[in-house]
Amino acid sequence: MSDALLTVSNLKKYFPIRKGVLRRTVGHVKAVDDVSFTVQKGETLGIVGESGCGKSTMGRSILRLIEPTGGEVKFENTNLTKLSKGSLRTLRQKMQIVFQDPYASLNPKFKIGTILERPMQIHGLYTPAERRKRVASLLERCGLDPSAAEKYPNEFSGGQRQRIGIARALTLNPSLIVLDEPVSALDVSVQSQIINLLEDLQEAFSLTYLFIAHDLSVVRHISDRIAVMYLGQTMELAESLELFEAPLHPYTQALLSAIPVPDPDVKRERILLRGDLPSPANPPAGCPFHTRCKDAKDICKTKKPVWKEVRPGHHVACHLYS
Amino acid sequence: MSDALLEISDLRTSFKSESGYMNAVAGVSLSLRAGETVGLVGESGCGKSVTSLSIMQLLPKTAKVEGSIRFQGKDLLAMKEPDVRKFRGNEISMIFQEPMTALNPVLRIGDQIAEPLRMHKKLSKRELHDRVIELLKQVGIPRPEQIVKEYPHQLSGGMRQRVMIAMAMACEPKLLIADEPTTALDVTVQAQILDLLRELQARNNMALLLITHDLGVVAEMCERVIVMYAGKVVEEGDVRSVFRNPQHPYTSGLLNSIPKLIGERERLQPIRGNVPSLANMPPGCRFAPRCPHAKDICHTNHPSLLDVEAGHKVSCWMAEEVAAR
Repeated sequence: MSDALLTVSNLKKYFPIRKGVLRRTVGHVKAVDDVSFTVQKGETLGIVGESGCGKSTMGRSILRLIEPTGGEVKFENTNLTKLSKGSLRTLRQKMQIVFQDPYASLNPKFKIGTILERPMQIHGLYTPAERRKRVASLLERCGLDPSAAEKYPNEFSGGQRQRIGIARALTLNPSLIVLDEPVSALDVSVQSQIINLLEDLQEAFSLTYLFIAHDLSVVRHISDRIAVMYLGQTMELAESLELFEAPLHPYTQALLSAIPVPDPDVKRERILLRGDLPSPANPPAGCPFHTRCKDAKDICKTKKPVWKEVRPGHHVACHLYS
Repeated sequence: MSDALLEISDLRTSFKSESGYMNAVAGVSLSLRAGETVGLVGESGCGKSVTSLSIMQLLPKTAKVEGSIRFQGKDLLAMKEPDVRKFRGNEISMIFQEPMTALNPVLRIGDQIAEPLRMHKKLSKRELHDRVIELLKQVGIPRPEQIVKEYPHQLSGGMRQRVMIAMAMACEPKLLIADEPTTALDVTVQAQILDLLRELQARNNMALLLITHDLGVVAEMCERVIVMYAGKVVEEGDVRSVFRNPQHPYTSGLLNSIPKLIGERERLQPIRGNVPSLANMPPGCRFAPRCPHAKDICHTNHPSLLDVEAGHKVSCWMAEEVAAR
């Protein structure tokens, strides 16, 4: 595929578990374990999974906000994992991130204008007057009054702060934005405003999104394709509507069946999962999901299933399909 | 309704601040029958949690609670604290959103579950222990004999919420108030917990007041729904009739702003603007500044809660106009 913007191959992030006086490494938490996918220019790839599945760690390892343990991340034609600090910084103009908590991700001591001008200052872009003009136009583009630049973060509601966070991500004209649970902290009525804003901005600035979230209906709405993660691994990846219509992996099926539908007349067959998520420090051998899977066979307990394209564009890692 | 288990009328809860009293709950009336499940929905700051804390009388001294809250005919607000204690945790109990902050981190699980039993029931040590184990089994906790000796941090989020439920169920309450019981949990765990609540409720014929912002959870669990906005009830009725035929622009706005799970994807229709702050409430209908249908009267006068069909009430000037015709 020639127009891939981002190619992630065999990405791994292991956190060491240290014990004792000597802080010796006694094991690893495999937060991201051998994940591969590509993101095409202009598309939105949704990443879903339950808490602790490694989706946020993955988003951050891609940008090298945390150093990946292994694997390769290619942005356009540059291998990010091999890049020096300096060249990485220059390239980061093209890759930005929006965080979940709009209260924690803005420095309360700075005015909005300062917060938004900062990235441009750091990268030595534009004159001061141009920067101010750009801040005003970005604020307006994100649905805020340009006078917001003179105010402090505490003067804004959660939804407005998230708009500021999005405006900040846009200051450097990026081509890729990692959205890490951008609407999870917001009320339903505000959530939809932000989703619409993200859709508009994507069209206006031809952005590519990596949209990480646990709310499946939101992910279905905004994504072109969706990857499902469980215990640091991708279980399934398919076109958004196809994944919801015909999920293949037993985990995806259980996850989708668990969503409560806001319609009192819809009664669905629910697949209740037994037990809790196993600890990522000690994941089950074989397929990580076999301990809770209703279709688990003997082979699932010993052999890790391979990541396979079973239909055009529909990948799954499950022994039922090999 | 004479058969009401809980009857709240004109509840007004306000908090003292520098600029006078602020009404977090501004005249809420609602009732629950025995064994019934009612959903209380609304966004943050709409007063749904303050309503539940007013029922439990768990608010700080700076709060002023007026109106009446009748439980089995007795007015809880008129009671003295020692009498209230006989109800709280016994006849009425509550579970909270954050099982980690609601459980005491330095007490063993077993001791925490035993606490309401020690307060309200006279049981021997042996009976107490057996009852705690039985409760843990009831909420689906594996290895209850070991879990009683563990501390909250040793359990996962879903397990902690099960412990909270076991504690709330200890004295077999007639009413359980669940304040966002599954918001902090993942969907697959949420499904387990909702299933458990349904099962316990059916077994004990317990009424459930489910406070949530998730309309999906309401559709799945509740018979009736009460929609709150900015401290007031805007719509109330049978779940099917409210979801199929929402009368208040806020209710339909909420329903339109959730992405669909089936069919084609359409652009979302959000409610414009933000929830007003307590200090700055609009004088008329509190939703008027965000309402696409607002007229002059909406900005000056508050509409009353009117019956539109049997059991379906709405507080909106559009409904008043239809009724006047």
